Parts: sequence; C-alpha cells; structure tokens
Amino acid sequence: MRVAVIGAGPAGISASLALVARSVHVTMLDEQPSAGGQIYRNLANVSAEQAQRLGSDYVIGKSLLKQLEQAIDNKILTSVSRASVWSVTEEKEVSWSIDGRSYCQKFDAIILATGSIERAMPIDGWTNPGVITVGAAQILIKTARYSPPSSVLVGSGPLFYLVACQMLEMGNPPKALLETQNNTDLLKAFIHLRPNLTSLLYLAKGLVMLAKLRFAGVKRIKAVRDVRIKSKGNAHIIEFSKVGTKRQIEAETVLLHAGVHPNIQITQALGLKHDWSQENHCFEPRTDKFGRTSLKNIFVAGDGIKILGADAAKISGKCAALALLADNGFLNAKADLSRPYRLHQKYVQIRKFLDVLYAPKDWYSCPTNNIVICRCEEVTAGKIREAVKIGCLGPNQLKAYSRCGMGNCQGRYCGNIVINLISEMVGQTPEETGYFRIRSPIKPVSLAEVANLETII
Amino acid sequence: MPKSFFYFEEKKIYFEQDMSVAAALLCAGVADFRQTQVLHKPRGPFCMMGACFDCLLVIDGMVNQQGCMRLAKQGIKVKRQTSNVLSEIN
Repeated sequence: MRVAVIGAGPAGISASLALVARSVHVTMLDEQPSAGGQIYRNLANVSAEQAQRLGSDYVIGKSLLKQLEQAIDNKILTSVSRASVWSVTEEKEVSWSIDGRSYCQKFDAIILATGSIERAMPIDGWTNPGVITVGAAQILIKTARYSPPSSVLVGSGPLFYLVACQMLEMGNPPKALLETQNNTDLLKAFIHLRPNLTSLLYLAKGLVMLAKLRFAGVKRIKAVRDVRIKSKGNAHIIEFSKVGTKRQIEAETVLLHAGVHPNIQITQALGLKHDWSQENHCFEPRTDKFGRTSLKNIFVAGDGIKILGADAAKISGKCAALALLADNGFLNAKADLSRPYRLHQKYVQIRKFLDVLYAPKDWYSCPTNNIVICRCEEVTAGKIREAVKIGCLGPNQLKAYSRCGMGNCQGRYCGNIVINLISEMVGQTPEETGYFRIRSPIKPVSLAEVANLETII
Repeated sequence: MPKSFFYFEEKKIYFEQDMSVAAALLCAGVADFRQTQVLHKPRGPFCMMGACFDCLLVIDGMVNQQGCMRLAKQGIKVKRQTSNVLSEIN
C-alpha cells in the first residue's frame, strides 16, 4: 500500500510516523525546503542557541524531526521537499511541482495535513509594501534570523504574543502592540472557560508571555479599532482610534494578525462537504472524529480540520493514520482508536476561550467600501457590495462580476471576507452563502509543465 | 568565508544559508517587489509562506517567481516585476 501525506507539519509528520511504524510506505510532500511545517520551520538547520531563544514549543519539535530522519534513513519514508501540490483527485492521483517540473503519482490513500493560513485583516493600507503578517515575521526570524526593526503589531491571538516575545528574545522588541480585543471580550471568554489541566497550562504560558512583554516595557494598547496605515517608502504611520479618540504611531514594519483558519484549498477542490464554524468564523472540512472524509481512503488531519494547535495536530495526525490502518486491515478489528481521540479532545476547551477572546472584529471583517478585499485583483468592498446590489447571488457569481478571488492566491485571503460581505447584504448565513468553487490546479502552474507531466509509477 | 550574494536590479544583496530570495531582500530593506497588475501600485511580501503570491519577482528572466519560495542562490539575477519589465519580456 502506498500512502501520500501532504504537508510536513506536526500532523503530517506524526501521521507518517504512525504509518511507517506499521511498515506502510509513505511519500510525504511538502512545499517548504525542510520538514516541520510553520511551527517547526527550519528547526533542523538552526543552531541550538537560536532554537532555545525561540522557546520550548519550538525546540520540542526536534524529537519529531529526529524520528522522521530515522524513517527516511530506513527508506520506509520518502520525504519530498519544495513540492507544491497543485492537484489531488478522488482517484487519489497527486500532482506536484518542483523547480518548474511537475510530477504525478497515484496512491492508495492520502492524508491531507495542510495546516492553516492567517485570517485576512483587510484595513486601509494592508496591501502596502512593508505591511506583512505576524506569521511572516516569524518565518523571517526562523529562516533568516531577522526580526523586522521598529515593528508595530496590529491584531490579536496567541501567535501575536508569541511572535512579540520571540522578537524580544532576538533583542529587537516590537515598538508597540495595538490589540483589537477589549475587556468585554475577556469577560465573555472567561465565561466559556471550563478549565482542565491542558487549558490551565496553556493559560499559564500566555501569562508568562504577557509578563515578559510588560517587564521589557513593550507598550500594549488594547481595544483599538479603525486602524489605517499610511506608507511612504519604509515609513508607516498607523492611525487608530481607542474609545473614540484618534491616535497614531510610526513604524518601519507593520505586522497584522487576526488569528488563523484551516487551509481548505485541497479539501474544497476535492468537492468535500464543509461546515461553517460559528466559533472560528471559517469553513472546516467535514470529517469523522478520526479525520475520515466522505471519500474512502482520503483523510484530513491537524489544523486543516479545525484550529487546535500543534500538540493537538500531532494527535490528530496519529488518529488519521490509525483510522487508515484500521480501514485497510493493518490493525485488528478490535483496535482501540478512542484513546488518542480522547487525548485530542483535551485541547478543545482552551480553544473555546481563545475563539471568544480573539474573535475577529466587524470593523475589519466587514470593512468599509474603500478597502481592498481581493489583494490579487484589487477589488474593493464597495465593488463587492455594488455587485450584490445588482443581483450577484454568491461568491462564484462574484467572480464574473468583479474577478474577485480569481487571482493567483485563488481566494485564500479574500474568501472569508467575501462570505461576510455577501451574507450581511443578503441577510443570510455564511453556510447559505457558501464558498468559492475551488478547482485544480490549486497553485498556478505553466502549461508546459502540465504538458510535460512526469508520471511516477 | 565570503558571503554569497545575488543581484537585485544592479545592487548586490548578501544572504546567508536557508534564506529565501524574499527574506534576503527584506533583510536588505527592500519591501517593494512589484507593481500590481490592475492599479500598478507597489506590492511586496505579505505571508512569506507561499500562499498570497504578493512577492512575485522576475528571477533569471522567469516571471511570476514567488520570492518567498525560492532559496537565494549565488549570482542569480532578480528584478522587480513592473509593468515595463513584463512588457519587455512579453
């Protein structure tokens, strides 16, 4: 049996390891130069010192990478890096591109572990050069040991504080944190908190990060809204309002973050059913509790199903692998899959707290008419509202009206905002509005590459 | 050991191992990578993980190269993807 695992983050690696432990050969495909996903990005190459600086949650990935290395050495696992998967079919044919050449291989089963992407935060000036995401800043720290100087972070969420602390450890503290959540959010979040040990540890970690920032004298301004960025070359002026008063701050780099949501390009392209998550304000692929989809032998694992973080993703990867093994006769019929699932559930409680505390705000998720929503085709919220006014029924028809969602990123960043705008105007739920119809190739690929597609047997 | 470099327009950009072209450029203070196709406005890297396609550059004469997904290599020639450069190539 040949299995493809797409994505080499915590979910993909732990799924692969559970499969090779049963002598099932795995081909692991990942887009980045080395395995680890965004959380353990470049961990195999950074110095021990640098890894330590970035915190224990980064260092902990070493053991996973070591086991992966062993599996590669034992030739039971093939790890393909820098491979952009651009098509996955129901027949389990996977196509990917490396350095301008494309390859296609048919598998018996597939585990999709494509993780998450950062939620769009469409504000005035978010398309200016020098305005990047908080995740992008973390990638710069991990891969280039570069922490953008004189940065201001705008937004909220766990990653927001983690990266602020990592910048601190790099000896380059952020200039200020402009935080979008307010005290009411905090109060509401505490009502949702059903503390178990996992969530208390998680909270403690958060409090330590906040203490570090306070001790370092990093300015935190909470309950900001109506943020605008005016840029002139590498100088940015960030205007915002706080309890009705207008204020501003200067920065060399602006880092935005409004949380993360599952990367659903492949699950959508496969035509799988997705459900709207009221908690995380995004579509999530429908799976059973082990990651089985409605297509036999196609599984999803990790943050690609629901955002629960790296530790939960590892367990989720294992769950999907065990389900795959059980479905194909590699485990005896009485094998108990419920233990890893119960472990996985420990991470749900704290997520409810975080989802309420850092819920996206209307002022940017349903922005004013002048704001660019589709970064690729430069379509504003005003154009989208106009289209709906003259009869546009949903995201797919919006493409014909405006080209929104038809650029290179294929709706990855504008998709959720489009859903918000249409749902609000028509007066329907996001579920009723639906999503863009995603089709392969899910990454742009040249015709020459498709014509010269090399089939691997 | 002498540092490696690539060319951005006429300028030498030095980089270290494991750096992408986009990371090396940002480290050198270059954030403006291209002109957008519709409004011809400056645009640069945004997500740094291959999802947003905002960091498109012309690398060794090839257009639409994702700067964040290409590892920096000694001597490559990188250009801003402006409307002029695009029309020259086409």
